[in-house]
Amino acid sequence: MSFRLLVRRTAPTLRRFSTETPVAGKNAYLANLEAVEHHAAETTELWRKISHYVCLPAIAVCAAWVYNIEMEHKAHLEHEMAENDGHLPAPPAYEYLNVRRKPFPWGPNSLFYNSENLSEE
Amino acid sequence: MQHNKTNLNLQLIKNKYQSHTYHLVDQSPWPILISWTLFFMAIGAVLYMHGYNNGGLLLNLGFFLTSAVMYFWLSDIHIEGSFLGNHTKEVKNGLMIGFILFVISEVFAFISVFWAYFHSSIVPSVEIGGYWPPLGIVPLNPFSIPLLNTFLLLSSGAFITYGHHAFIAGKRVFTINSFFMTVVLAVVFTLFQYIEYTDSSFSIADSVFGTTFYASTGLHGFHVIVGTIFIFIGFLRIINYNVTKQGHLGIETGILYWHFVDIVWLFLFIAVYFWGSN
Repeated sequence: MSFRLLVRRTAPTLRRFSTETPVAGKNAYLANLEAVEHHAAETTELWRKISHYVCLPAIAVCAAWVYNIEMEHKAHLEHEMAENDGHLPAPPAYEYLNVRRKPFPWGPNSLFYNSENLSEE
Repeated sequence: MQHNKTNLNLQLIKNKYQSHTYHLVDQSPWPILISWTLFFMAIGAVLYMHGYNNGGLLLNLGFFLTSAVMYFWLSDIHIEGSFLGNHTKEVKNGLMIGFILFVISEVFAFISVFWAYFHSSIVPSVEIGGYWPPLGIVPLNPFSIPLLNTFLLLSSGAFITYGHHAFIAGKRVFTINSFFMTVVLAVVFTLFQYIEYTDSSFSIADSVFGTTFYASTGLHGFHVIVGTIFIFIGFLRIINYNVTKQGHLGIETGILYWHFVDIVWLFLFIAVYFWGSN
């Protein structure tokens, strides 16, 4: 019995399934976690650069270009309205345009109806 | 005697543990409740569209209740994962597989609207004059706001990738900033789509062109709004320390959903906006 107590007292505290217990110098699970975190730091820097130095300038350039196009379009529409005494010319009365075989549940107009934009709908 | 008592103690302890790594979920009212709320929503939609009284009310009630049950169910999942330790590696893997299958089902929903669009546009019917776009329709300029929207969505995808890696690398400020930018870009996209919808010269009722245009872009817009909410909730949970580097499926599934939304937009831009215009 004293031998058993002796063994218990001097046995190393080897907890076989703990992630903190070192195995052959470096715990494989912890090493993997550290590698993932380190790799993530590098990838973060890559995507930070892409987001800030590629995406944001591209949006700015495209926004400036689209602003020009839309201002031109607006001027064209105003010119058409001026030529057509105050409102846009009506679209041709094809039977497949502005179809109402059954009224919308919310009323006569489509959901995003905009009276300023469309002529008589 | 001593040996038997030890055996009994061991049994009592062992009975508290499971000998597998899966999650046998506790009984919960949410599945049956959500089936009822979805039913109310569906019936409410049908009644509303056929003009019955209070159809719209039932639709809204069903929608509100479905959202409420979703909140409770998802928060239960969060509790099971973060506080009860049920989300082992296998469980997390299974949850991700389930979400991927859901995204695949959404892909099929979009395939159906794209099918309708291509069916109508590749061989335009005689009733619309055999042309696409039909005569009398002025399609939107694809290289105006739609192009800008493409850049907005792609950039939001880049920002959220930046954010996800920053999160894993433990960089809190970068994570919060990039998730915030993702949400901002998503909201700006939705705003521009709303402007396009109100400024367009054609409505959903303007021939099959309008129908397929608004059905496809509308279904996509709805998914953008859902995806924005998904990411925004992930953003709030990151701020609140609700997630960890090892367990953040709520964030990862949101990111996957957002990438899916982005890819669908690319298909929409090419097929509907670019190829479908003059």
